[in-house]
Amino acid sequence: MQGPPPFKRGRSAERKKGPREREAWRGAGAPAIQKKMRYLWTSALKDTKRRLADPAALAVWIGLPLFVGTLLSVISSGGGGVPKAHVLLVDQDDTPASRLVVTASTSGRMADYLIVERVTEADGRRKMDAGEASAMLVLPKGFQRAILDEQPAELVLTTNPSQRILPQIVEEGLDMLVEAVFYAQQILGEPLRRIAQGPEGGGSVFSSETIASLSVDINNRVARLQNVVFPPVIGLRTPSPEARTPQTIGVMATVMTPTMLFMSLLFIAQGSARDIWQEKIQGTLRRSLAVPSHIGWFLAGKVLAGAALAAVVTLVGLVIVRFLGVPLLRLPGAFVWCTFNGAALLCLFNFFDTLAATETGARMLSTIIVFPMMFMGGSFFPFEAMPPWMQAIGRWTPNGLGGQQLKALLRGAPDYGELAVATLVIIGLSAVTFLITVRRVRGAFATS
Amino acid sequence: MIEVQDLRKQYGDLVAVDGVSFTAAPGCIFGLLGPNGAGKSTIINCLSGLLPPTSGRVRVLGHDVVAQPMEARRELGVVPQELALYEDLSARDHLAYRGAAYGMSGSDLKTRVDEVLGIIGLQDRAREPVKRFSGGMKRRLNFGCGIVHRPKALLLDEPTVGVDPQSRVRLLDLVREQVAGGTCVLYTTHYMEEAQELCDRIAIMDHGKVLAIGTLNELRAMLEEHDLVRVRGRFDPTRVRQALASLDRIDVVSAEPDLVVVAAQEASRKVSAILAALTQSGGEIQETSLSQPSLESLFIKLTGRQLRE
Ligand SMILES: Nc1ncnc2c1ncn2[C@@H]1O[C@H](COP(=O)(O)OP(=O)(O)OP(=O)(O)O)[C@@H](O)[C@H]1O
Ligand SMILES: [Mg+2]
Repeated sequence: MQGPPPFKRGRSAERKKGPREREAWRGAGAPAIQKKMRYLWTSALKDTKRRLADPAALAVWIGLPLFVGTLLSVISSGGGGVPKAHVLLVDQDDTPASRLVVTASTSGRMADYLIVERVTEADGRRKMDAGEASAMLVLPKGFQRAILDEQPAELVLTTNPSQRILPQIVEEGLDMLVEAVFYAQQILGEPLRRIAQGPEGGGSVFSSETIASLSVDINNRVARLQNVVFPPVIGLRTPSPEARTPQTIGVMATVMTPTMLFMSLLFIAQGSARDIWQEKIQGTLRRSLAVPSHIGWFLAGKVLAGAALAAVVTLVGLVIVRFLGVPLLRLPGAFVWCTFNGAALLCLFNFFDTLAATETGARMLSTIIVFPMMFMGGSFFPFEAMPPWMQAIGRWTPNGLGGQQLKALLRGAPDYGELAVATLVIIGLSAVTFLITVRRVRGAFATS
Repeated sequence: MIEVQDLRKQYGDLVAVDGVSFTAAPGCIFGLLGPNGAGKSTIINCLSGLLPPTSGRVRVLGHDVVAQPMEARRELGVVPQELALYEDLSARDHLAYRGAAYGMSGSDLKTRVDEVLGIIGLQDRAREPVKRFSGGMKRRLNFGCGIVHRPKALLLDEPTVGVDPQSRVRLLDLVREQVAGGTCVLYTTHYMEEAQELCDRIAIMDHGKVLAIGTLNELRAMLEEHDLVRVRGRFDPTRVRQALASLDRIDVVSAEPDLVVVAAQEASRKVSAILAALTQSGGEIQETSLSQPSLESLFIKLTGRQLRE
């Protein structure tokens, strides 16, 4: 929460509050400010108590990320009914080793989220250009040779830029596969080479000695590998128009969960803002305008209560993210960021709600605003799944700004410059909307 | 002390309060009596700082409500006409929150909350959410919220609306207790009996203007001890006026096809003459009543209509 901003006097004829009121808001001395802070705190507390009395709304807000998180973990463990990535496979080598990769990618766990189609390279390019597949994997000529010679080999994976989630799944899956092939190479490379060269002396049958020594050799290699990790010799290269940060943690943790978390924050803000109307209708707002503390403290209490709620929901979201493998160290920053964004979004929606002339009007207005904000700002479909023009606009929505930085924080690769800009923009927007809300509430809103 | 000087409040073209002046002294109950829409709540809202006056001055204990709003509000307790309560919070939560809003804290606040719970008789239900309260209990809590911070001036805007006679008596007692402690009370109502019973001074209002102001006795004197004779039936208003004009020292307050109201001193002696005149004018008498001078008779005399219409 940012500190209480100073209030300016209104200019309209109706607003003739004297300079003394400003003084009272700023607090003349230490005991005065203490009283204000206590009022702020008790205001937040009373709103929180009232929230807790409505567990249904709370359940929706906290349950949303939980529900989505559960759904995603089902996806990542390969449950049924999951969208599959369409992968084109070009086998230019056509050897036992390359066929092994093809088989591996069409069976077992990989088959749960990949539909693999073998194509020629030209055919594959055409289909990729037409956007008919998520990715194309090329096993280059000489792939088996490279494996047998323990030479670096490179699989080329081209992903479809218009689809971003599914290709990422493919990439992660193939990473695993490539690792498996690497270990196979480490274990079997030398014996395989000897077998491929054929029996010594040009015969057609291996001698018992050779077989025995091959067995011992294989056994030793397995033993040697058990506790050692080698740098992989086979690399998976993904030519991509933009450089991407190394993807070590799943797409669920760094894309889907943050997306859903911001969806929750949006709904919390939209729902909590309705409270100003409730206070107006039940007359408690007018009563609070008659106390000797500036109404700004009362409204700041509401924002604080909203931030507390955002913090709880964030906590749930971050537990899921942690469970999906994000290191603990990245979470405190993400927590602060989300709570801050929750408060900022509440300032924004308080502003929208006080613009309307009736409660129904406010409900309509905030609904009309929240859905485009959610869709454009990447809080429903992640940016990664959006067309570029939409991303370009959406990144500058308040939730888009916040959501993007949350993803960066979770990936452990925040750009501090961008983060600072986002923070300033969000603080500025909150301050402006909060001040306008205070003025409206003190003026026409409360007494109309 | 509450001072209102030439107060005027306009909503667009509508003049809700039109040049009202009065002073309410400490230890007294000042009543604002008037029908719906007279402008009572508007005056209360100007005093509590909710509405800026269009012109005129309002002061609470010497502090100008516009120029020194925080000082004025500190001394002021407000009990609004509509219930202003949180359905999900308890009585104790309400009182503690209102106290904190006026800068109270710690043991002082706690003691005072217990005290007020005792005053409004809600100790037993102190921890229940307000949504389980009856209307009368809510009214009492609404009142309690206005007195937690021991205000020196109290604004009560029709605090007894919609409560049963028993709760009403209880609430009026609460108001008297406050006044006994030296508080200055401004009390609005459209119940004559309430104003008559409770208030030391009364201003009678209609259409944003004060029609008469004074103690109950002073107001009665304005009626010149006139009694009111009210006759229901069927009449011809013109002929009624002609017939009654011949009678000495009576005042026709209103003559309508179904109701004739006449004001006269010692009216009981003149009732037979009045009835005779009405019968002669061709009227048909169904019901007759005689009332002693009261605020209602004064209001009728001042405005030509009944307070509750
Ligand atoms: N916010 C407002 N905007 C426009 N007109 C208003 C507003 N509030 C009150 N009025 C008008 O001002 C006049 C006085 O209203 P007010 O509420 O002061 O009356 P009142 O004496 O308190 O009546 P009641 O006994 O019904 O409470 C009425 O004609 C009312 O319609
Ligand atoms: Mg009123």
